[in-house]
Amino acid sequence: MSDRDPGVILATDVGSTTTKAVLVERRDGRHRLVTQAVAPTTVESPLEDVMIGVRTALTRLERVTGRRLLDADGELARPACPEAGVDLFVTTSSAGGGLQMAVAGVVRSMTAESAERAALGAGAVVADVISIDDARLIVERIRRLRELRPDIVLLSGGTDEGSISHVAAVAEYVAAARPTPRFGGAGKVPVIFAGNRRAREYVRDVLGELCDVHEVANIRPTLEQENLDPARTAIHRIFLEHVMAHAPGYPELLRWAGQVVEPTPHAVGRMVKLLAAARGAGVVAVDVGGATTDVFSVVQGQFFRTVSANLGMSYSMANVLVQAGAAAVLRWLPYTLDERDLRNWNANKMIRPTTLPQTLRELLLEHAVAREALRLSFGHHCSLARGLKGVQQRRTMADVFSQTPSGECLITPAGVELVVGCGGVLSHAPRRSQAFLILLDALQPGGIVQFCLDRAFLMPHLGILASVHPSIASQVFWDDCVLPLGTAVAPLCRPREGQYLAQVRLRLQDGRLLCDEQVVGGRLRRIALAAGEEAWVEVTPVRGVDVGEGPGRRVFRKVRGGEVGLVLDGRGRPLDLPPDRAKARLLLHEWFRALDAYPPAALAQEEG
Amino acid sequence: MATRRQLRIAENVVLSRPRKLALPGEVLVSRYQEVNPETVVARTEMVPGDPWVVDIFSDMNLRLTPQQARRAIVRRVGERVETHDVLAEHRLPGLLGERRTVRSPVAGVIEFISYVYGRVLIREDARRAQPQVVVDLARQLDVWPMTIGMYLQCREGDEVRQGAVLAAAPSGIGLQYAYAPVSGVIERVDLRTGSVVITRQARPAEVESYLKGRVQELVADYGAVVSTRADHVLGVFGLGFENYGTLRVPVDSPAAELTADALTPEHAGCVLVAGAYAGLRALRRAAGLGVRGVIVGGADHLDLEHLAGKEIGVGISGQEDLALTVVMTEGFGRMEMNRDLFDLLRASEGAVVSLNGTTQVRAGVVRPEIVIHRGLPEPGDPPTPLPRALGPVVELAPGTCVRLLRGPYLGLWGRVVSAGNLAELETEVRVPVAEVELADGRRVMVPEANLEVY
Repeated sequence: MSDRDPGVILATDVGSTTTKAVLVERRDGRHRLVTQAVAPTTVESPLEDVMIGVRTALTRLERVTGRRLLDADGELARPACPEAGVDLFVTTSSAGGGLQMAVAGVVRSMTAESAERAALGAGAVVADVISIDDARLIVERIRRLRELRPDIVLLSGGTDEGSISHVAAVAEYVAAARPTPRFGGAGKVPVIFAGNRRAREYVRDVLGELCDVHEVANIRPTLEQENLDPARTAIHRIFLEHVMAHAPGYPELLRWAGQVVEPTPHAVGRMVKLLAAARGAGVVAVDVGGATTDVFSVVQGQFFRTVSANLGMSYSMANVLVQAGAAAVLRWLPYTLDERDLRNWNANKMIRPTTLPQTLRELLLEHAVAREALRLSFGHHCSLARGLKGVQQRRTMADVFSQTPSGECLITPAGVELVVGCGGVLSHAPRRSQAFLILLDALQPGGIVQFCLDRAFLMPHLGILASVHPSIASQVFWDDCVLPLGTAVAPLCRPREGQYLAQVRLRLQDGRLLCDEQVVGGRLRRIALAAGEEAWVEVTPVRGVDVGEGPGRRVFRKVRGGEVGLVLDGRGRPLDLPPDRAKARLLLHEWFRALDAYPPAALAQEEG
Repeated sequence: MATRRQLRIAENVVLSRPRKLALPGEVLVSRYQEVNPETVVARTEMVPGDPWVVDIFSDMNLRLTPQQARRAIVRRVGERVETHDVLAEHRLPGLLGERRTVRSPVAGVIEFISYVYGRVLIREDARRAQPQVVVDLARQLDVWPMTIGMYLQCREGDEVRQGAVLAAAPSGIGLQYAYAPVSGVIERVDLRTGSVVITRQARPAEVESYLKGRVQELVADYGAVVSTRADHVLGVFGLGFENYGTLRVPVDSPAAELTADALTPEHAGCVLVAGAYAGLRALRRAAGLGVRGVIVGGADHLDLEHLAGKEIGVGISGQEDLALTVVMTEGFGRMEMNRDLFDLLRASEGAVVSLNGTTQVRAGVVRPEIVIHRGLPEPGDPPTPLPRALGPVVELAPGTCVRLLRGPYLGLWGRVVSAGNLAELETEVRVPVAEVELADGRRVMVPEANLEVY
């Protein structure tokens, strides 16, 4: 850490409902989180000035820390001195629904999907995807584009030497819709054209007068190649120059932040990428919100992000039931419940989302819904985190019987080594093992996987800080933001009940043997390994069982402890609960007890 | 600790509602006229103007480059065209080059032109929309009229939506399709000319007053603003759109259930108060008898889905095509109705009630409403500002009447004994709790977040 690093850092995240401010200070050579404060966001009427909420949050921070952050004129006090001011201010924003984009391409599963990936990766909310092979009528597509009022339109289509007619037609749809921006009154909507370069002139011709056209390199220059970065960079630039500059109060926020305000999900994505780079492994981060669930991943060096709208733990809770089905939720309950009661409970939570579970029964119900919301969102994420479609594959006669389609999912159960969870249902789970088990059951990673919790949802703040000081962001993340839950050893196989799957030996750094245990089919086993402790685990699977390195291959790896410790998961992948509900309930009780996930006395009552 | 006041009763207020047609029509009321909920305020018999897509290349039987198309299409976006006006014209090369022309099938405004695909989108003028549309399939598919029967994908009497395939015939490479330019019913297939006639669904639209009150303002060609003096109640979830009827209370307490057996043919046209619960059998029988609305403490989510014939997932309702409107005042499941509300409804038996089940749980919260008409407002009476859908935040004080929102006390009523203490729940979380004395005398500890103030 150099002396040139900022000593006092203030970071804010302007969310749709709340504005959160955090203060980071260098103490004894290390940057630590001092405290955080929250205030309602004031971007909507009647206040319509985001700075009111930001200043309120800062005033609350001042009250808690005693450090004066605002001067007499309400300006940010800079630079820092012992009792006042800050050296660096960074901010993210998702207020007003975040960055809303419409995406258009020629073929839904090819260029339009690439464009969708670029927009999602840039932290946008993709309001709709329009393509030539869209099942909707032309009129409907145009009407939809008109209704959306997107902040930015991303237009893609065609490979660089391909035909221009289809991409030109998509440009004509956009022109016909004459989209108007959400902010900025009579201004033109920015359109980023990231398609066939030969079509640029025509696109300029069609859209030039109606929209603010920005040309960037083709998102799909060839069928075999996807080039998302130029489009993503353009999205950020335009977000700052066109969208943020017109939002109420943002010009002042931009001035405070040195003209950089990032979309919140983009900052989170940077943090996930940073983690993946530091670990050199696949990382998945999930944020289970009230209305939506965000999933971020870095696998095989590629970054993906998806937002599952209408899958969440409050307003969208009833929709989880609709999409997953009542049986899927009920299977996670260690007691019997009528479908009718489940639906009523679920719908009541939907209309009164701020209520809390008072009994263990209701807590278990919320956790059952969370598992399904996460499972569905992760499934949605996997459907987008895949290789390119339309890529020509050269096959020989030997491949005739083992042909795989292009566009296979890149996330494999053994390809993820770190899972980070956040969102109320995980962060506020009364016991950490509950959050651990929800993540393990819903995502079902295999091999050796570490689980962490972003307990205060600081990833946006640290993500934007990482853009200027990655080492500080990484340090604060591990010291103050993340809560290590533990590590799971989960063989990839479909075991029989009681089947011996692998031998696990855990040695501390000093060579002391901590445990020598078996992974047994259908069972969970928890071994204490405290947070901050590291140990070497040696997993020797039996023939045919894979713990990440291939069937039967031994794995030797350093693992990190946490509040839960090391968990040996012999339940197999995919994790199937027995169709016999009584048997499934007994198994759930056994698993919950193995992880000490719920209060034993109350859990025993449910069993009785 | 503060919590939110939920169910809102605003007594003796002046309510105002704009009552307007989506399309222009005839306004049938006059200013300051007294109206009943069923009074028709405005009516139109206009066919809704459809957007028409004219495929220039197909009609010309030519494939032009975008540059050629730009020259051939003689109209521009925003221009108004009449039926049979020339849209595009192209002369084939050669001394005696044939001139091919495409004319507008309707009167309207050009909204979009694709020079790449050679398509012109015309927004039809609703005032001049023709009730019948003739589609020349033989010409579009370039087949003999008499053979058109071989290629038809529809029959006389079929209902078709705009964009549906009417016929398909082999062309050079694959099939060529002819699409329905408008939604409607296939009136006739003419094998002599190779055409079909689509009769468009003329939807005579009417807008009723909904409120029993007075017309305060006229909106030329579209409708009026009607206001009433009434008690206004917000529920928590509803099903079905606007409805009205005479209020009847066939149950004797807010904790009672409305059973199918309690319903009689005399309840037809009425709005019934159902107490704590109404099951699917009762709701279906009510709908069958012609009951207009049911106001109930709670109903099962599954029953409401069965009644609506659709899944209720994201907390948006009101668009269901139901003759019966359901307004729940407390929540899902068996939920004793708020006694003050029940007493108000019972005291209002015989009054005319309007109700609307439209609900939106988030993003500009909308709650279902019940309007109990009390009398006529004076001409020009301004509307009373109504409370917002989300009630104000209020302090929990000893003696406050509360409803308990989560298990194990879901749906029960009580009074706060003390509040603001921290306590650990069975779930092991430590939160602010209130001690509440239930109606049966039990004293229980409840998280303050699980209380609603009435």
